[in-house]
Amino acid sequence: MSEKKLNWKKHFLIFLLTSMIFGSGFLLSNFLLEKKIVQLTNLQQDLIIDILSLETQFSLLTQTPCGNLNEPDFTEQLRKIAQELSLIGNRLGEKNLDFLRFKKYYSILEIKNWLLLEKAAKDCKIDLVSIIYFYSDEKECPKCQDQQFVLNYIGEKYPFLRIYSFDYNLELSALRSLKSIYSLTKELPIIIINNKTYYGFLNKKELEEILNKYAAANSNKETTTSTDEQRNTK
Amino acid sequence: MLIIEILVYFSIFLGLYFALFVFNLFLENQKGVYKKPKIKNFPTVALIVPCYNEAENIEKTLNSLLNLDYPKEKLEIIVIDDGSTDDTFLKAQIFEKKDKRIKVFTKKNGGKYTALNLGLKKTNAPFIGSMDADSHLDPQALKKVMKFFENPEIKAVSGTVKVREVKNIIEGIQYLEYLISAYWKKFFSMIGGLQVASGAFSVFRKEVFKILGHYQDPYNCLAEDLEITFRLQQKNFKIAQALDAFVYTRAPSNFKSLFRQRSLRWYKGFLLTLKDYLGLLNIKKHGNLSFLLYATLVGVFASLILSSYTLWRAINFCWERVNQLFLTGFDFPYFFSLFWDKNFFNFKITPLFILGNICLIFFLIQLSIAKKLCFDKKPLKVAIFSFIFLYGYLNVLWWGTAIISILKEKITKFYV
Repeated sequence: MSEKKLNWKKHFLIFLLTSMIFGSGFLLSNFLLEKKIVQLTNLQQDLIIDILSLETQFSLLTQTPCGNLNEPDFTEQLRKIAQELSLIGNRLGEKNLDFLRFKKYYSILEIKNWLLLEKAAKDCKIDLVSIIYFYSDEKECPKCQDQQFVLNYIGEKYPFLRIYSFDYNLELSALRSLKSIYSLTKELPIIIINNKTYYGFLNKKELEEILNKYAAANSNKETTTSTDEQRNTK
Repeated sequence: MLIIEILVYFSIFLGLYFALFVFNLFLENQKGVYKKPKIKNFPTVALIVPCYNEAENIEKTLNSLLNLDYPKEKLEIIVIDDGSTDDTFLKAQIFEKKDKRIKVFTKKNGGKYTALNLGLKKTNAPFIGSMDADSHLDPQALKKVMKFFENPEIKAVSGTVKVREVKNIIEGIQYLEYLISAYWKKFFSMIGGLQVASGAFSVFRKEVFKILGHYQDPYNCLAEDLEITFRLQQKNFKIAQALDAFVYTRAPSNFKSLFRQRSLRWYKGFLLTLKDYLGLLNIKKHGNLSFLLYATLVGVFASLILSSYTLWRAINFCWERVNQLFLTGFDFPYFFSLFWDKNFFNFKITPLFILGNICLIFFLIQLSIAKKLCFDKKPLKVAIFSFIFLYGYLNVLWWGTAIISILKEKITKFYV
């Protein structure tokens, strides 16, 4: 029986070692999360500096500095922030206060970016179509995740598209104003394309049809403008 | 969801604990793994080979026994034909005529344990071994086993079972399973915790049967080896495992036969037999053995949790991908481009992912130790990959169906 006897001391030490390894898994995960949060903060800071710098240029020159406008860079920065934010949201939970703070900050950056690009697009004659998309969690809006996926897909296919996603329930005065400007009712998902509001899920085909209309309208406008310009030159 | 996550983390904790427990045993006992004393006078051993419809295998099995490096006059080979309907008996008789060491008997079919019991009656050798008719012994295996009996306290020694051939994934998975199991069993035996002296090849002192009685298989699960081991353990008899005494067995090569072997024989047999020997779960009396039996039972629960969780995640993942394929109108280039996006698998920073990887590392360490200790050189990359991804699910299926089968029988008995 002596060899069979349970060595409680050894089991206790193994238990401690297991707990340490187990704990280190959590610590490593938290360390990586902290790094992600720092990364996200830096990204947001970079973007706000770029936006503020451009806004200041707007004010100084009293016109849009089209030569200095690096629009794809802004969009890429926003995309990266969205990805980091999504990772952090998955880890911290959608209701975590830190995450909500980051989300609000991101939403403000999106609105600022949207306003800036709307103005730049007009002044610098860039063909951009903005989509404002309101979503909510799965309980409230089961189709929102699919809608986001379709929008991402469409965004990849149509380079002139700029998509801004907002959580409908996020407590933010700027968002409240945006909702009141478009007199939105809570029928999610909501998509606003060039000031026209669409309620409910739009599939790939429906979205493409809408966007093709805008693309056709833009190209007609371009043709008309260039013909006018030619006439004026003559 | 929170309860499921707690259970998943708890299962991972248990898995890590067990891996560290085995690893600690290895570090403490690695020097005494192989027995080295040279024996001048080997004792007489009778090897009983029960067979039922083994015409295909009996010749190879008997040849492997005749090729054993063991003094000829000290070896008896007793073939018991358990009422085969094929040529097993005739083929065995040809061997009997060729070699004096072989004695062949036939009887009415009654199950493996009855054949073993007849074999016990037909010999007076002080050491009695049992051997599966579809297995081959390594020429040195018997000598290596007998070295352990130099210690008079050791009453039984189990050989190390290896899968003979690997032709497909099913056999590959079993090959790895047998390797890891051999490594575990070796170190468990060193702390008195061996749960089964393998029926494929084990040797006992004759006195064991005088004290404990003959082989039994009350549930007809071919679990006579487990049952006799539990009886040995109940008496606190020492059982050793000879890690370098190899017996090569033919593993089930398809899913159906593997399922039958595990669900309806091994695991069902384990649960039913354990029910008869509940005293073995008394930690005060049986210490390490009880701990390991509890570990087996809790392990079943933990693997059920982990497999269900990962399966649910995998199904969810696949369903999402199929849905996405529909949403893009089957735009395959875009769909596949998503897999190259480094953010696609966005679970990389969760503790679960990190702990899962730690467990995987522990598994690979254990596998490499097992391979080294069993002198195994097969690369088996596909088998390792399949083992990691499939074994957990297969294990749950086998245990699950074994439990269901027992419950079903109980319910039927209750109503009848």
